[in-house]
Amino acid sequence: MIQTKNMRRVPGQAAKKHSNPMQRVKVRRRIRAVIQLIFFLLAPAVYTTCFSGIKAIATAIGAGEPFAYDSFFTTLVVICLYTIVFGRFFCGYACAFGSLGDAVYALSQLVQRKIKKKLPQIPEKAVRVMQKFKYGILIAIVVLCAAGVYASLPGWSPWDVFSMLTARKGVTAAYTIGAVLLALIVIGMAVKERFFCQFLCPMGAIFALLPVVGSYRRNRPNCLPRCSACAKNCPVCVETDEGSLRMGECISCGKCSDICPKRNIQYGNKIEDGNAPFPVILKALLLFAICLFLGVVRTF
Amino acid sequence: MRHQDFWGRMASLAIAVIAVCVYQANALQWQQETEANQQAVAEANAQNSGAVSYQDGVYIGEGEGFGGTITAQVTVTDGEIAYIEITDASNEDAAYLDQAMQIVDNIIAAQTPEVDTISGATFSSTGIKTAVQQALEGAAET
Repeated sequence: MIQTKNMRRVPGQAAKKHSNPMQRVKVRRRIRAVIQLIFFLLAPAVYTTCFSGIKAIATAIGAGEPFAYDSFFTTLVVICLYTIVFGRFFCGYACAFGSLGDAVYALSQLVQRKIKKKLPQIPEKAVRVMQKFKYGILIAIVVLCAAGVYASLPGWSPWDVFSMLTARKGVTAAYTIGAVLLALIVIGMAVKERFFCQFLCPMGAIFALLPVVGSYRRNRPNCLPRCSACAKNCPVCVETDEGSLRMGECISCGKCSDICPKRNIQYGNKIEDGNAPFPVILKALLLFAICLFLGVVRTF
Repeated sequence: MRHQDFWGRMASLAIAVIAVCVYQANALQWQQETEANQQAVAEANAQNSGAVSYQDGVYIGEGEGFGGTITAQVTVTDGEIAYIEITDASNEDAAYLDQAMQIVDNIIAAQTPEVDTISGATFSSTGIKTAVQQALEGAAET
């Protein structure tokens, strides 16, 4: 009952200014920012834990040993199942590295507006090509793990460096390469929204290949003529009715649904107003409960 | 996402998961076999190292055979059972004793008197075994 009330209250505020879609966008952007902040502070290591599961399996197969059913494995399986059911909501709302990207990009946008200079945009064609890079990175890491040489590589992983920072540990000299790469990635994040997620993230490569039940989809016949607000607003350059490999790029951020002047983008063929705050908050709560169950929520 | 696309992905995922499961089942079996092997090797090593603890010398022991007492003389050289001589088995039936002598070779090969007795010459071979055990009791002290 309490939740129902909440649900009514938030769209209620928006309903008052129904004629002002910017207000709606603002409210929903705030909801997303709050969810991202909570996950960033309390569960900042889920993405590395997931990917460690992949690395552990690859290493075990390379060594001809059975892989262990440890917490890496469980986290990997559970987060993948969650992604199959709800789409890449984890990427869009809960991944600490993705949230870092959003924060850097937002800051960069703010600065660009203040100094009235715009960074060059990556053309969409190049974006589509660069989105394939992450598969190469995934394959390279898996092969290195299977060959048994990954563990002896120098500290190159920018994720490890970022994990050290989120764990408020100092970065050791052994991780110089990783620190430099992280700095370069942060620059990329300032140029292109979700730079790392769509171009480089090896875990994103796996998520992008999963079958997804809960996806965003526009009701094309109902669209305003020649409106492409959703596509223009999409950080990963997909149109929601694409039926291709590229739909896997969708990180379920819901920006398309937020901006749509006709609220014409559905979620999972069930929810008419795709990114309505109530289902978003429900998904976030469920994911947080899963993180608690997995033991990846940090205690201070 | 179109239905066709969804099921294509689902099928790929299923194939990948099945492949990993098949691998895991095989790998678990390999691991079991390796562990069994290692255990056997460890046991053999333990037995060998147990045999090495004998002190050099000539030891005499007695055991009850079929017709009376069997006396065995065990020679230990370099910590190993080198030679076993049956010095007295006068009350044993010669045919049985001949068969029972097989246990001497077995004891030397295993470097321990804890070997199976010879079927068909159980009493005589048990007598030899007991005699060697008794002899080696003197040799085991360190």
